[in-house]
Amino acid sequence: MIEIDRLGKIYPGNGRPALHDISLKIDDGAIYGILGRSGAGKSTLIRCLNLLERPSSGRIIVDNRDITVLNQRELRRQRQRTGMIFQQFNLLHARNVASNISVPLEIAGVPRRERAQRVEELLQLVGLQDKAQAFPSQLSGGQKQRVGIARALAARPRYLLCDEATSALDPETTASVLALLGGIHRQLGLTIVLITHELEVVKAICDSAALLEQGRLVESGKLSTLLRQPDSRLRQALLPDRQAEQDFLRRHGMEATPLCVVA
Amino acid sequence: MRSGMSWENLWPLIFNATLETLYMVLFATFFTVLIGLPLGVLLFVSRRNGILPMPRLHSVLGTIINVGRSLPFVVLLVALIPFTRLIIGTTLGSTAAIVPITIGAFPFFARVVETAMDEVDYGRIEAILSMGGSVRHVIGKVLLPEALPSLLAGITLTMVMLIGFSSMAGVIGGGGLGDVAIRYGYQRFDNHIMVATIVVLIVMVQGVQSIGNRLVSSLAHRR
Repeated sequence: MIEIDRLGKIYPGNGRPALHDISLKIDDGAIYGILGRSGAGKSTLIRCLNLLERPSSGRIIVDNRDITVLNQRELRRQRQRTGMIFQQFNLLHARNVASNISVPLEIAGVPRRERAQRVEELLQLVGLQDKAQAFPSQLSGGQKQRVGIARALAARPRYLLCDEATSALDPETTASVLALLGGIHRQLGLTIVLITHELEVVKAICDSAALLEQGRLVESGKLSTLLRQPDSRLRQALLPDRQAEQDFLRRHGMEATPLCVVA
Repeated sequence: MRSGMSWENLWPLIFNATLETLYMVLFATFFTVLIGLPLGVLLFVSRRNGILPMPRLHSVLGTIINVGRSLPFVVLLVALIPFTRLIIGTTLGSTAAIVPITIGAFPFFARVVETAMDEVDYGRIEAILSMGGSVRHVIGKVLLPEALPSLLAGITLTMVMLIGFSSMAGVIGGGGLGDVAIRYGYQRFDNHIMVATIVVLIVMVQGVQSIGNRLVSSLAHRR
């Protein structure tokens, strides 16, 4: 479980804090979506979860240990248990796909023979067996993110952090990457934390969500709970807007025609 | 046009001088990379916002490198004569010339390395950190391999510069094509020799550049 406790982040020379008093609980096995516009602080928040960004105040408790007080060695071990994927994929261009996936295993000191076997499994998991020898520059965006996912899962982490993992992808590819993440979640039962500005992502795979606005947490919780609260901002955002739908239909000369008939 | 030397005498002279120049350039390149590469990496990682911040060390190194780079090479060549004598035991000949050439070139190469590391996308460094990688992992798995094309281009650039430096070493009796050009071309007005040294130098620079270019483009998939 990840517990974020009154987390704050102030960048030097910036008046408004990037994060202000954020408290959040992420249950084991959740797919937790953190939604916000650009500049809301969600990227800072997710990068605090593996301390790529140092918080200015507050604690981050992962599996009952405050990771903000770990020494370098312990922190590196903690990071090995937390996979991360990125908007820009961040693959090593000097290495082919198989070799990219084996990097976390090299860092963890896994012997060569085991590495090769694990890479084979992961290639299968993300459906890229035929691309093992390809270089990142020869792959499409969706394929690159699949390599990123395989790489993040290589050292069998308990947590997977997704930093706008689908924002650089077209809608179709986004759907397939989300389906892959959903499948991995069912298969491996790991906890996924993702940040996004796309409502569709939250709709597609999340079971819990938080809304971030100008560095402050507006609301958070299980979607099953939030959707029952009529005044929930997330509910309003996620459910279709009747008025907008009617306006759209009227604009195209289909006044008050029920959608199902049109379809 | 005055012609000094017969062809039979000219060729061995040019040939030996060419070997001496190659000897100086190859060894000086080796030592320049040996000193400049770790220095450039250190310069990059020790930045205030780097992966191993050591701002004070960074600014000390930066100052030393800037001092080294601001001296014209001819001045450095003369100024380093006592130092060369201390290390090699003599100040004459090609071996002795390798010392000032290396010292003149490594600060430049360290900056080349620093710039090459700077071109590596920071996201890739972060990816390694996010996996629990150490500074050593970042250097060994990201910085050096991902910057390899730029580093090779930088070594090519440095070698071409070293060919120039090695010729200047002729001023203090360093041997090589520069020495020949000064003694025969300048002091004896022997135009044959002057032209021959120029041709050999041009061929040498072209050769180094095209080998370098070929190596860099063989790594084109790393973009």
